[in-house]
Order: sequence, then structure tokens, then C-alpha cells
Amino acid sequence: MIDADTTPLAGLRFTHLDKPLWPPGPGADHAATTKSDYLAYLQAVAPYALPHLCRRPLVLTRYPHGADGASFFQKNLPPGAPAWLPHFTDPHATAEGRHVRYLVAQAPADLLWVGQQVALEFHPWLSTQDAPDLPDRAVVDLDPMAPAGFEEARAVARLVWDILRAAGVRSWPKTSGATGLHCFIPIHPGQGYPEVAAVLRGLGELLLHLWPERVTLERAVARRGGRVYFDYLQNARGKTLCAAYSPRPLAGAPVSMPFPWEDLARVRPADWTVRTVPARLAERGDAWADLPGAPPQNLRALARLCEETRPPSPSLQRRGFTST
Amino acid sequence: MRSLWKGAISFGLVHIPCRLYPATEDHDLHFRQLHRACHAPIEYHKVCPQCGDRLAADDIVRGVEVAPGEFVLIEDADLEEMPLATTHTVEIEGFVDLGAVDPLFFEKPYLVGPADGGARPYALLRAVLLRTQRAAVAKVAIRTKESLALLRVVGDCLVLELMRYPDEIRDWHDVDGLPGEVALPERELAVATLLVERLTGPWRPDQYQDNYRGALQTLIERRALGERVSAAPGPDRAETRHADLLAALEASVAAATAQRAQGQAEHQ
Repeated sequence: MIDADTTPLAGLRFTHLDKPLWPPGPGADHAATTKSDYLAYLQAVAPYALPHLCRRPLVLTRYPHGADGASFFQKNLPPGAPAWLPHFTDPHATAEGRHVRYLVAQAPADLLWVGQQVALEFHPWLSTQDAPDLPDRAVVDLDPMAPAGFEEARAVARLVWDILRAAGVRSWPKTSGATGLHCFIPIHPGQGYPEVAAVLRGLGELLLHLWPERVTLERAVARRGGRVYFDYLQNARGKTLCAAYSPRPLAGAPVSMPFPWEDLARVRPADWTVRTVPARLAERGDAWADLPGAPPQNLRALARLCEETRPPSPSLQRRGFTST
Repeated sequence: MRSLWKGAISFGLVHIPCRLYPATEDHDLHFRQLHRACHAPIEYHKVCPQCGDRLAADDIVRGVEVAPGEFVLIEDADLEEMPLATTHTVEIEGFVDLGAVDPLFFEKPYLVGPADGGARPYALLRAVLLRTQRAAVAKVAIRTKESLALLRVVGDCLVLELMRYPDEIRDWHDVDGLPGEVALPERELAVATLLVERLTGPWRPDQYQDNYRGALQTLIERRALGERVSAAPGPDRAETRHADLLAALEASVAAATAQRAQGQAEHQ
């Protein structure tokens, strides 16, 4: 019999396994999601999640009292962290002159440490430790503002997909785990974050032009008014969307779930939780399996398309985007 | 109320932004099926009878049997190319007298509410249907199917009755043994008519309830108080589960630390 509180694992001990971390979701037929559920989840999804975290500094959100309690960001590895955890020291010093040591997860054990820390979200950088200032991912972040919800985000995502395909750009979508959608585009790490953000801003302006009732680029939350916020500013150093397969601190322990674009019309974010995702992955594998090895996409073609299609071309108008 | 469809009613120059709401709700009790031995809810799996393989959604394709054992395959992409109306419009094609359409045609009712900017034209259509005692015959696309529909007034509300196409309704001539003209004695007819008159009253739907459901509900409540069934694992099972989990977690950490120690040794 293993005693949960005393087994030393090279400086890592798994404790409080019965602790409930997430309250049950609405209409759920099961109890809270516990820490042992979470550790088992991390163990099961590590082979699918790790390729997308490869060489990326991680920011963690810790919820020491569970998803309902207070939270804080953790960038720097704490003093008690096991010595064997792989890490990256940011060459840029903070305002206080310190150099932050980030976790860079490589093996399942590293994610298990994340679980033991009760970090309920993990956020990878959009650049790797090899070129921290040159992003190799561009992201589309669609965040519906209530009363808009996932259906509105889904409709805008459909338009995003059409535009990206029209530009010849391949992209990889996932649910945000809440009501939004994220879409990742692999790019050549040869330009800074501001340049990437400028291209994504162009895409946002095109969306706004095509569908002003549905899309907003407003930075002031109060003025976003029930529309889908297109957050191109996520393309910034140190800004991080949650990782593929990261859970979110919401009732029912929902997970940010990659899916193929073809499934957009039928994907249901609430289906993917810490409890359900491992079986789905075992059955279907990682919908993003081809992302790590995919060639960099042509961001310039996207910039050109957005430039040329404003005001929108008739071909985009004709497709009935305005029906709900 | 949550609408399931947003679009517009249109006829001639009149355009009425509107929403559709389901007009009915299901109150049936739904049973779960459990394994008698351990009370775990059972799962359904799709299995190929030829190969014995368990199938994922990707492994399954639509087919239509055109001759015995001979199938034509239909892919999602084929269906997407079908010439279906995808516009969100209730297209009014004409008007008929209320009562001219037999209830046999009615398939599913939806409540229609005005959407932004629709209140005035909505009120106009409602007033005209009331004054003329007519209903509008319309075509509407809901999800991927285009249906025939009848738009009529109920209270202050427009109701859209989705209708079956005439070729979906069976001909009553096909019913076996229907009696033709039968000579009935006047006395019998008079007594039966009197009985009918006595039992005739206003239509009060609230007099009727689902007695079966009520009885079932009582039975369930009694069972829930007495013998609760549960698949929740006992404390013993939780302990073994933890032991198994910890052993697996340990192995992961041991693998990572060993590999990294070796990597460092080779480095030096």
C-alpha cells in the first residue's frame, strides 16, 4: 500500500488526492473533479499535449483552493521545485532586474508537477526558447461577450476559416474551454510580435467590416456589447492563451480541445472535460497531430488578402454570413 | 425563452424579422439502462457484424440499399452540395381559409416572436389574418430541411405549423374494411346524438393529465427513499484506485528523472 503523503519521488510528492478541484458542471451526473482525477488526466494526455508545449516557456495559473478559490499567475519556478524540472531563463530582466526561470515541459512528469501545484491552466509562449522574441505561432482569439456565446463565436470562426483558406493559410482550431475559440497558425519565426499582431489586426478589421453586428475589436470591455471580441493583441510577448488540452477553472473541469475544422459545425465545448478527453484521445488521437511538423504558413498572403478585400469583395458578401 | 431559429417572414414587400421557439416540450421520464449486476450505466457501441470491429464515427459512412446487398454511398460533402434553401426566411406563398387544412398535415408547431424591428409588421400580419380568418401557406428551411408550413394566429401570437407534404400522408382509401353507407335506425341515431350533446362542453385541456407519468413519478419517489441504487465506488475501491494511480505517476517521474540524470552524466 502506497502512502500518498510520504512517497518521495525525487522531490515530487503527490498529496491531497481526494481534494475536489472543480465543482460539477451544470446538469452533470457526477461529483466534483478531484486532484487524483486531474493527475490521472495529465498522465493520460501528456503524450498528446507535450508536442505542442515543446521548448515553450510555460506560465501557470495556480488555484490552491480549487477553481472556485483565489488564483495567481506563476511564471518563476518556486524555490521548492524539483531540480530535474527543465526550465528556461529569460534573458530579458524584469523591471526589478530579475531573470524569470520558466518551466518548459518535456516529459509527463513535468506536467504531473503542474498538477501537484494545483495549476489548473497552463499557457505556453507563442515563441520557443530558441528565439523568445520571434513568435512561431500566430493566434486568433475569439471571445464572445455575453449575451453572445459559443454559437456566435462558432459563426465568426466559420468566417475566419473561410478567409484563412482564401489566403492559402492552414490553421488549427480548438475550443477555448469556455465559450470562445482559438485558432493557431504556424509561422516562420522571423518577425517580432508587433509585426504578427499587425497582420492579425488586419484580419480583425476585415471581419469587423464584413460583420459589424457580430464582431468587435473594442479594447474597452463596456463597448464590446454582446459581440465576439477579436483579440489580436494576444499576439504579444508574455501574452499567452491556454495550451491545447489545458483545463480551465470552470465548473465541470472543461478542457481546451483541438478539433478538425470540418467538425466546427458540430463541436460542443461542454463535451470535453478532464473526465472525457482521455477516452476521446485514445479513440481518435490528437486532432492537432500534424501541427508541430507543419510548414510555416504565409502570413504575408493573409496580410495581402485582408488589405485587398477591404471593402469586402462581392464573393465574400454573397455567402450569407449575415444570417444567424 | 430561447429561440432556435432567427430569420424573417417575407411576402411581397413586407419583411418581418422574427424568431422561432419550439411550441412544445417533452415531459416524459427517461430511463437509463444499467448493468443489473453492478448498476453501471451501459454504453452502446457500433459493431461491424462482418469484421467484429468496434467502429468510431470516422469508420461509418451513409449508404442506401439500391438492390439487395448493393449500396450507394453518400458522403457529408455530397449532402452539402444539395440545392437546399439555406436562407432563413419564411416565404409566404399564399393564403387559405382557416380550417381548410386538415390537422393530418400538421407535424410540429413553433411559436413565432418578432425580432428587432419586427413588431409593427408582425402586428399587421396578425391583424390581417384575424380579420380575414385566413392562414398563410409558406415554405421554410429549418436546419437542413425545407418544409411546407402554415402560419396562423393563436392568442396574440403567430404560430408556424410545420406540415407534411401531401405525398407523406397515407390515403384513407387504403384502410381495410371501411363500411360504406349503412342503414341505421333513426332511434339509435337519436340516442347516440343525445349522448354526444350531453358530453359536449368547452375545450378545457387542463382537465387532462398524463396519469401514467404521475403513477411512475410516485413509484420513483418511493424507491428513491427506500432502496437507492448507486454505482459510486466504496471506500475500499477508492484506496486501490489511488494506489494504482500513484504507482503510474511514480513510474512517470522515475522515467523522467532517470533519463535526465543519464543525459547529464553523458554531458560531463
